[in-house]
Amino acid sequence: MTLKTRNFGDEQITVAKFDSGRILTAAYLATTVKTGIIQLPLHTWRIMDIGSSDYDAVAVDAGVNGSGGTIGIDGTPLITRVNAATDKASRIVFADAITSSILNDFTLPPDVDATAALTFKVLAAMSGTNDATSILTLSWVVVGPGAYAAGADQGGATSAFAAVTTLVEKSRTIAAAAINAPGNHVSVELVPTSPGSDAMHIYATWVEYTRK
Amino acid sequence: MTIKTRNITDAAITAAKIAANTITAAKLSATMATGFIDLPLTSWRVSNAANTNYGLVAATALIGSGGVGGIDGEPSLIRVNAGTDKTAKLSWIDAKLDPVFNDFVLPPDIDASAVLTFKMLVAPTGAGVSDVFTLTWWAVAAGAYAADTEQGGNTSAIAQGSGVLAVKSIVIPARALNAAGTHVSVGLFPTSPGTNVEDVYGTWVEYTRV
Repeated sequence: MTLKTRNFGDEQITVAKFDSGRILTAAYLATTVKTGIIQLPLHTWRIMDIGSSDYDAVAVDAGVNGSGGTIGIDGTPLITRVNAATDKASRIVFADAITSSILNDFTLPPDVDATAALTFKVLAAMSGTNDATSILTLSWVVVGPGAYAAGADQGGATSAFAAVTTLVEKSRTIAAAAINAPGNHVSVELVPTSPGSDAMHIYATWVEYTRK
Repeated sequence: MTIKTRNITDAAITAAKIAANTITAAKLSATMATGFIDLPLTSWRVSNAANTNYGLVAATALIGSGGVGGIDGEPSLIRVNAGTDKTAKLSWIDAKLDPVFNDFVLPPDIDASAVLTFKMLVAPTGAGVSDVFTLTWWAVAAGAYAADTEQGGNTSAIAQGSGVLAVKSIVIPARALNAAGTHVSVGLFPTSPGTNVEDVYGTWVEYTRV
């Protein structure tokens, strides 16, 4: 018996269909390829001015931050190598009891699927084991074309760091929402809560999303 | 019954028929075939008006160290309302025309035979003037150094007084210099804001993947 084309469903992919182009949508991609990433390098974070709860002035505030909240080795928080001589890994350090906010921003890319959740991720560790309840809290507000409307905060807290000095990847899920559409702009704020007597070390921050 | 290879129509796809390197961007959906270069608001540097260049590392008034900007920069990097709205924006207050600078490398999957589009999310306050934003675009690539021919241009007019956020675009023509690995330096400034404030809420570049 010879099977004919009509024996196959309409979804049969043929060479002709393949060559016609535009047949590969994100739905056909493996999870790793379908997952988009938005990088938030450590040095791009700005320290928020505590007094105004806003971006800082261009004048340097010694021991706190550089121009406009730029982060440096004597900032609060600070950015530093783990060991300048023997370990060139970078990290942001919230010293014990420091709860200053840091700020960043980005545009959502053309292939982001607003019907799926996004995930803010952080790679972090505590310097000691005294603070079982330390968490990071994320604010996430979005604006897009149209009459200006203040974005609702879609952020929230990570789970607790459980007083471990091992690096852990913590997440905060941003629920699917129409406002998280391509071309819309996101402003984020990150702040540690209850760091207690240990320092919090942040080694990486990024956002993962589903491609459409 | 077992269906064997010889039972499948000759038109069906097999691994052999999908030759190596044939799954190109032309096979991708429109969203995935569109590449993206984000230019976060915090990544722009405010130009030094004194020398139309990058600023000094000393925290110079109005621009900050190296032009990193801040809430009292010109333009300012500021939240819409520190108490109630954490949205960031770059804000050119009335009559300020100072450019901001940025730079990036064109990625490996860029199609230099297609146009690129610089996009910005912008909203003005006030009315009574006709304003546009101007983008400067200068590229360099491997080979003997040659100053580029300016590739930027203006947005269409920004509707003053509307208070509405709009996406404005500047198309960069297709050309060989827009190839992967080319480095682009850009500048951005309002042309004639008059007494109005121009607020920019997002900036990015879209390109066609090859």
